[in-house]
Amino acid sequence: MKKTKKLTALLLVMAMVLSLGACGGGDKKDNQGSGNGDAAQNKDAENSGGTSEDGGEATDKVANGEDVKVEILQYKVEIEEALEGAIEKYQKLYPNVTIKLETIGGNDSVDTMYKARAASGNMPDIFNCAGPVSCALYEPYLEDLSDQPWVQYANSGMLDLNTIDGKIYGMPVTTEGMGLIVNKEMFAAAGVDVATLDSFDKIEEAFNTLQTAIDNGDLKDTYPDLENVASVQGGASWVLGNHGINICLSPEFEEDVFACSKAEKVEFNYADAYQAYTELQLKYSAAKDDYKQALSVDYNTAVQELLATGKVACIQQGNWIYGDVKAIDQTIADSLVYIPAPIKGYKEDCIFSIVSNYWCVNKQSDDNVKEAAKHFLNWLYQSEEGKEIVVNKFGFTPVFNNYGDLKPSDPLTQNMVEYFEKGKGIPVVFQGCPDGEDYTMNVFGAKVQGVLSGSLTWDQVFEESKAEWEQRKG
Amino acid sequence: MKRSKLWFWVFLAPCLISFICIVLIPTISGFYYSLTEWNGISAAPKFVGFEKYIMVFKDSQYWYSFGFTALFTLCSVILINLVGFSLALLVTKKFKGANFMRGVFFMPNLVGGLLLGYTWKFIFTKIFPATSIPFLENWLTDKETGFIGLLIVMVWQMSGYMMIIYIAGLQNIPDSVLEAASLDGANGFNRLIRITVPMVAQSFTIGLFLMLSNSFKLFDQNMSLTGGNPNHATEMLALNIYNSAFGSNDMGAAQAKAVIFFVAIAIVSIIQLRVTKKAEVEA
Repeated sequence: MKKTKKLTALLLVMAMVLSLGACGGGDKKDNQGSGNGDAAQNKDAENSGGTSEDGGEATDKVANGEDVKVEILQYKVEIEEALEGAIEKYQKLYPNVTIKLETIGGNDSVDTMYKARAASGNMPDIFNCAGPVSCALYEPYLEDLSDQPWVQYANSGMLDLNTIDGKIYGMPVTTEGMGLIVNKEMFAAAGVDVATLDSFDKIEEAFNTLQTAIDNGDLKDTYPDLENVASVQGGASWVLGNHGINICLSPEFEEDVFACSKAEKVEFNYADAYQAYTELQLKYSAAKDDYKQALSVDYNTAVQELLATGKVACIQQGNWIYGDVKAIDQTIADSLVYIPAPIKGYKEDCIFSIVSNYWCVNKQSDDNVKEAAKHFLNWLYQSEEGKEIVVNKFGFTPVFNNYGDLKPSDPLTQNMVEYFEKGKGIPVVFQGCPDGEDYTMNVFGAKVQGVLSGSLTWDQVFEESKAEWEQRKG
Repeated sequence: MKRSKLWFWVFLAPCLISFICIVLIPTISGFYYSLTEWNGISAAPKFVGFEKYIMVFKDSQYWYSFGFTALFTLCSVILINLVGFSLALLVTKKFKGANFMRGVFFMPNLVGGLLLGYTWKFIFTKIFPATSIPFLENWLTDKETGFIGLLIVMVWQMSGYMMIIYIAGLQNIPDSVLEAASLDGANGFNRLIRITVPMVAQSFTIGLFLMLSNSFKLFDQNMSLTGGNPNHATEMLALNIYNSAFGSNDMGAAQAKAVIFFVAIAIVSIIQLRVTKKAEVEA
């Protein structure tokens, strides 16, 4: 009796402890399923599907008219509804294709989901993956898309990130801009024209002017809620890390993500620039006396509760916030423009350009699923109907040169395009860091949080990040 | 005899099979993976022996998380059982609304961990500062308030559950024993310490054990409340393992960490079970 009791206790202990390890799971998809289509015919259908640029006619067939299911797991929450709409349209044109859309974004990293799905042998048919580090990781799942019809129309540089050994492994989602986003009307009320801000010192002076005006109560009538110039999203390590780190890495690696991914070492030559850039914002934020306060500001707080309600005039973000701000206050949304994210001692008048991500097709899916997936992507970005959706519904900037007159619809994105057209976009390189986001967020970003919480100095941040880089490359 | 033996296995089979499938096999394959270099995505894990264990032993963040988790477990086990037991004593007193109170105290346990974490995050970061009391500002932004925050959430959630276990224990105490004690002149405090507590020792065994392993393995609340911020200062073991598995793509190291973690909890739990078993008495 005593023995059984002991055994039960032991088993119970094990069961409790181990229930932790039981993650992932999920049903194994039947990969062998319907993969019996004639290869030659498939090829035929693919070509006819691919080259039909208007794609609006239901005459061409996908996957020989067989029933296929395509699963998309993507990260862009902002476009979820519009993408669902596009899928419905596509399914009407090609009734034999069923597309299932799943979106994971915001705080949950879609990457985690991909890894769990990959581990359980259930990788989606269309997924997002960008940059040399991720491409190396997802290599077994990346279908070569070099033969796709859209390749020839891609704007210069748009395919680079996912071009490995001359093969193109992804279709660019869109291009976005990261920098300091300001409410130009607020600055104008304090007598500053933000269009003239093209250096670190000028920006600092403008911040100072605005903060003085706020403190003196000069703007009380027009902007009663305005409290501080800026806000630092210390609670979001991806803002400090993934995006912020480019302030010091892009100059060091000469704006080349491949140089970054090949580097055995990092020097952080521009560490001072990062510190100056971050402290500039901190100095004119609610956290100026106690950096800790910045830690409780996350993305949603900054965008929806501070910028969109007119409590601050400037945050580090990108044109993707337009929709969120517009949902709260249209006037403020339309007053948003970029000012440069100044890199002291390098370029002080530029913003960052990001090819946000790529659509990739799962190499291990069935042939006709792959074919339908490619066909759908081509339809979405190359048919007249699709282009319209991509630009006007998604709010994306065209990344292909055959979009004619279609221009991004919101003023913030238009402003970004102006910067790019003037050659004032610095490509980001963070996707080249060891283990990608894990380094920029959980190492670098987390250490910057350490500065905010008072447990680390700036020197420690860069020294420790340097060491971690070498260790991960070693 | 033969018949009963057959039935024994028939009834045991579902339990046994699921135990083997979801506990035993994953444990063994998990141990195997801890000896490999694998990013979780590529097809073939590479066998590297005990290299990952050596790496983990040198990983200062892991040992920091270990210490943080151990301290958290100590505090939460004591607090939860204390609060749970007190609540149980309270609601077994016969007064109006006692049953209603039981329901209320148990309620937080019905809310899922993630949801609870986000709810409390809102309370800590939005409602606390709104009171304008300096002490309540900037919660969750450093190690200390992060720790206390986690503790508050955990105690709030689990006390009701422990209360139920202790109520069952308390109701098993024969009235005659308590009556005899009071006739002998034992006051309320003495009755509690000398009669009630030893009589519910069995419940303490369960309560301590459950909370010990639960607190050690805490993940949801940690993930949603602090996410390990700032700079991994509030990162508990389970989250640390998760980060090395899905962040650094190092399944081998993550699994090695999990094996060490498992051994540690198993040892602590077995010691705890032995010690508290000795304290149990039968009526």
